[in-house]
Amino acid sequence: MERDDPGRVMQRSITTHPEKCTGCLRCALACSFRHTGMFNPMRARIHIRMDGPACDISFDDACTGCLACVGGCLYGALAAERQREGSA
Amino acid sequence: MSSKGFAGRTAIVDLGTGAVEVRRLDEREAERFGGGLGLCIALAARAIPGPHGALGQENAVVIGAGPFVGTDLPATSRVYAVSALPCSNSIGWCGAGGMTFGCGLKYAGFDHVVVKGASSRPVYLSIHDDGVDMLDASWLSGKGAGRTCEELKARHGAQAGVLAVGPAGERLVSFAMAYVDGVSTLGRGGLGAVMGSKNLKAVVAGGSRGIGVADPVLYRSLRDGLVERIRRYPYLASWQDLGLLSSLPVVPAEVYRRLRVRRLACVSCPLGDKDMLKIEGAAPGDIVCSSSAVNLFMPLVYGMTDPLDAARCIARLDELGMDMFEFFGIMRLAASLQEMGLISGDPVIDVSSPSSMLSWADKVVERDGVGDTLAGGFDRIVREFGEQALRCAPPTFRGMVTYVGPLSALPWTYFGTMELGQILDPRGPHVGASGSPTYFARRGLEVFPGHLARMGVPEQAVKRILQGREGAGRGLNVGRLLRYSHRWFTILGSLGVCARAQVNRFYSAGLLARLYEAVTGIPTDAEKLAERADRSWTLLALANAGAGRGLTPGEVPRAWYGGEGFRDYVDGTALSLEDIGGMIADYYDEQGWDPVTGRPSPARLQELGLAE
Ligand code: SF4
Ligand code: SF4
Ligand code: SF4
Repeated sequence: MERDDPGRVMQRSITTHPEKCTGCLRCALACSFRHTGMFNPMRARIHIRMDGPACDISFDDACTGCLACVGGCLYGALAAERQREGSA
Repeated sequence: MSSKGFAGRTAIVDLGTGAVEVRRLDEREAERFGGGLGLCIALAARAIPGPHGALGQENAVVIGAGPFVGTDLPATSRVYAVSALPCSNSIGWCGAGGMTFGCGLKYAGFDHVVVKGASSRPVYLSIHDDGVDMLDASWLSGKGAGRTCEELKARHGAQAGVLAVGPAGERLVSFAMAYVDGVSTLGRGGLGAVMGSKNLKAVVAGGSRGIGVADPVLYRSLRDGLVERIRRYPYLASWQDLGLLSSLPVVPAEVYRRLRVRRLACVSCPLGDKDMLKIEGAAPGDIVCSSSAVNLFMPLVYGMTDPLDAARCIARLDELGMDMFEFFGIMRLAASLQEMGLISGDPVIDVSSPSSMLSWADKVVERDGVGDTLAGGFDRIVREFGEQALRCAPPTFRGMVTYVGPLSALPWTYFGTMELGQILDPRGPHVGASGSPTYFARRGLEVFPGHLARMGVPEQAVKRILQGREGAGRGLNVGRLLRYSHRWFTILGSLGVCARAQVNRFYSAGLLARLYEAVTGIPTDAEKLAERADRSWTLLALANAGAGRGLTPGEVPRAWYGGEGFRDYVDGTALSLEDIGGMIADYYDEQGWDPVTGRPSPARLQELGLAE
């Protein structure tokens, strides 16, 4: 959560486009490095699952919304969105 | 050293006894050879007795990934294997976009694994946090490379990476390859057959260990700058869309887009050029993955007309685990021998016919009748059919087809480093440009100084390269350029960076040195990286030179020179044998090797600390 507008709390959320995902895991690498100081997608809070033609992108409860994963993705499969959540 | 780029351990596995030894990474050796490819070569030089006897128990396979693999530096996925290879009878490197196998090895806590001996029954290796297990693989016998990968992922977890061979490797087809995660190919020259000779069906790698970096602040700043440059690259979107297909349009873009399910990328790569396509009848669920759609459609260059048939054919070869260039080269020769009445067997051999090729692919793998001879590759065919086979064989070098050039699959005309490299790499012809600017035909010479500076070529050498060859009056010395392309390629491979043109263009020698220092903490500059690469490449030459394997001009394929042969990269004039011989001598000279025998000179060995 961050406060960038008096009286409003803005939460960053992430829109996913699994159809654009290549499975490169750059998002998960960025996340694990940001939060653990080490690289390993198993330590990330974003999870990419490819099952044949299907792809699922999900976030676990520990996700802080820091957007490091979005910065890592160069395929447009993740996009940051700003959502109004109501008055503080 | 663990958790600073390197995972910190090397596994030595003896398949004969089942013994597994886990050693701490030798930090001095890691520093001397850089890691990855360089360290694979150093370990192989000790573990492999010589270039011959690839399918014997004495041969070893050294697999490894460099210190950048497992990080999020762009396109740092590369995995390498070094082994004696059966097609070329040489100790050669094999490299692949490592999908998740390379980083899986690192996350399991290993940089390298040395596989020795041979098992008496089919096995696979599972490399994980706690070590290496040798497990029964009889339930995988006869299964395709992709299917094996899927079944092992189902058993060991989707995050594990898998290196596997198909039935061609199991049956020692000399041009069998290994496959990484069912997508990338590893080991033109017969690595699949080497694994088959060891009864090694697959290697699975994955774990929960993390890879850290020595200087996170410097790392972040260098990485962010690099990623930003890639993000702003004007051709990023078109590379991500079509990749190699835009420079090699084997099918129209609309056809490809209609069949594409998604593009795939190796771990960390922002310019992924691998493909998942939907091709009816090609595989269970009709889903086919490939290291590039260009490969899937390659039979069109051999005369097939339907892209779907072509893709079905390559999907089958991939599943069997066979090198398509070698297979089609051999089938072209077999068709001529059949026409001459020297080969019988149904059906008629016709490289433009999908049903003929599918049928013969099975015959080769089953070693059925003459399929057994064909499975032995060009050397075996020439041994059995003698002069007649030699006369109608496509251009070959050391038992393998040269895939680029006159009368070859890719009939490119201009002689750059990729073309010359087919005969100056110890492993024989392979698909790769070594990151050289001549990858694109007839580029203006004005762009070379910038490229060469990026690759870290010393100024004096740039002058020698751009002076052309003495007496030839042409503006580019391809032999001398190839020497530095090999160095650049070895640097990239030792660190783990992909050498493909769309990727390596973002890296420079200076940047790699700074990144190496930030990742590993080992003090490094561009000169040190270059020296480590030279040490590795020279050691590879030395390991092969023991068998007197210097290249002589007489070995240059006949189709390469004379009127219909290759043309000079700059002025387009036809090359003579003397021209090519001069380039070979220049290459050796620039390396500091004997210009005639190609043996590294004692002085050069001394300089590189390889004299003992
Ligand atoms: S938003 Fe931050 S914490 Fe959440 S998945 Fe992305 S990188 Fe990880
Ligand atoms: S970085 Fe983007 S393309 Fe790559 S795995 Fe993550 S979401 Fe998919
Ligand atoms: S360019 Fe291709 S081979 Fe290289 S890392 Fe990217 S996806 Fe892999």
